[in-house]
Amino acid sequence: MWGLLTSQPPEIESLKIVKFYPSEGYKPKILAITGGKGGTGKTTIAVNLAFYFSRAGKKVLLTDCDVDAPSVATLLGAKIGDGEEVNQFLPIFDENRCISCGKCSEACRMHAILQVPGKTPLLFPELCLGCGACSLVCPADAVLEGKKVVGWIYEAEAYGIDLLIGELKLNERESEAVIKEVKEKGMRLSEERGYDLIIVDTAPGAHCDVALSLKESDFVLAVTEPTPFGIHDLDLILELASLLKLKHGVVVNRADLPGDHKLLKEVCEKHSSKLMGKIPVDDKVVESHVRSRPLLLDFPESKASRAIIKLAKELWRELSL
Amino acid sequence: MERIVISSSPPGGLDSLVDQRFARCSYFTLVDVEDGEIVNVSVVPNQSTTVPHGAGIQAAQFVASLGAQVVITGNIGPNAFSSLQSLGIRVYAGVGGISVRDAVMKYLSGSLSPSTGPGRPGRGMGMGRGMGRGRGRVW
Repeated sequence: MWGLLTSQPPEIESLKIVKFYPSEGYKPKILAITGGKGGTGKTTIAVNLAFYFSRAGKKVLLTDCDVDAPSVATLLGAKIGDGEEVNQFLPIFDENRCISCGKCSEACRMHAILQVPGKTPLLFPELCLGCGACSLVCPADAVLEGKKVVGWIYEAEAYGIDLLIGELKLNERESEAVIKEVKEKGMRLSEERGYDLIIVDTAPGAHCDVALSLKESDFVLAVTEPTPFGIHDLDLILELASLLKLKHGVVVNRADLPGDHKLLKEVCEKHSSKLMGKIPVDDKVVESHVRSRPLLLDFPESKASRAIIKLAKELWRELSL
Repeated sequence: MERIVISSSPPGGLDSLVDQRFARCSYFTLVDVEDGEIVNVSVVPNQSTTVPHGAGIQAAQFVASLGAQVVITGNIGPNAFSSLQSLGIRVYAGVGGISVRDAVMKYLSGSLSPSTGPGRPGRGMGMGRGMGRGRGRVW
């Protein structure tokens, strides 16, 4: 068709948007997928919602904030590269300046610093959380800034969806440090690329890692199942979302499992949370996992796909995409 | 004069049992010895019994501030052990089931040998027997 306009077709490269210039007040919509209980299908739903919105023409970034056990890349069969290190402050004691006063050792709430009288303090790096209190209290400016690797961030792409994956180094404690980096990097990328939507896949539970992942989202979708365990944890996660003053809704996954739907409804009502859909048990979901491909791509007509598409449309309205 | 600090079960003192835990023991009994004789005894509560992290390091720092030259205890964790070593305090671990007095007597008679490595971290309760006899067992 280019031949109709010019004799020479333009280079494909020149058609690509190289840089996105955010307009005044640009802000991507942020959808957090959480749920309390583990294994309810948070990542499956996050991945398939991302796929739906992407196919519907939206520019989507999917971030994996379940840094203890990230699985977005696995579910999408995405290849990830070397990743970028997430570092944490680790003190280095300058023996030339140190006056062996022991103030750093007293200030360390992790008791990671041993003050040997007359010597430079001894650090137990595996206990250090990188708070930097030691450097604040040191009267001799002897605490220098070192670092330790606590995790990595990987960028990847699958089916037109940009992925940002956080991973905590095994045996490290500060998941929050990695999540914070993932979120900040997501916002930086957003400024460059102009995402319409950022989907945040959180860890199970209702602890501080999850709270940090949920913050700043425009909508929190809690994925649950009708079992007593699912309902119990739903109660907690909706409480957390309310505490954070975030809008929230609920989707019941594996909705035909035996359970107490009346109680589930009561929990939703208690937190004024909207019941946004029910996804039935469907073997095709497992098959899509085995294939490491989106369910919506391979089995668009399956029961679960239809329910997810319905949910996606509901969320589209909720987020005014 | 030499100051020996012994991890002790309540109420602390010469007649209490040696506490199997070092960093999370209830009391430290301070025993000063001179020419093979006990010359002074005092009891200090341990401040690290309930700290969530770094109890070994904190307890080591604490006994050092009490002027300890020797520590006698049951089981001792790796952080506590290396802290005490760095602080120049000799450790005699693996002492259990006997009174503080008997432990001190054993030390004075030379029948305890210094530990060369820690026991299991945070597993002091019920452990400790047979440890610290110079075999350098870590796990």
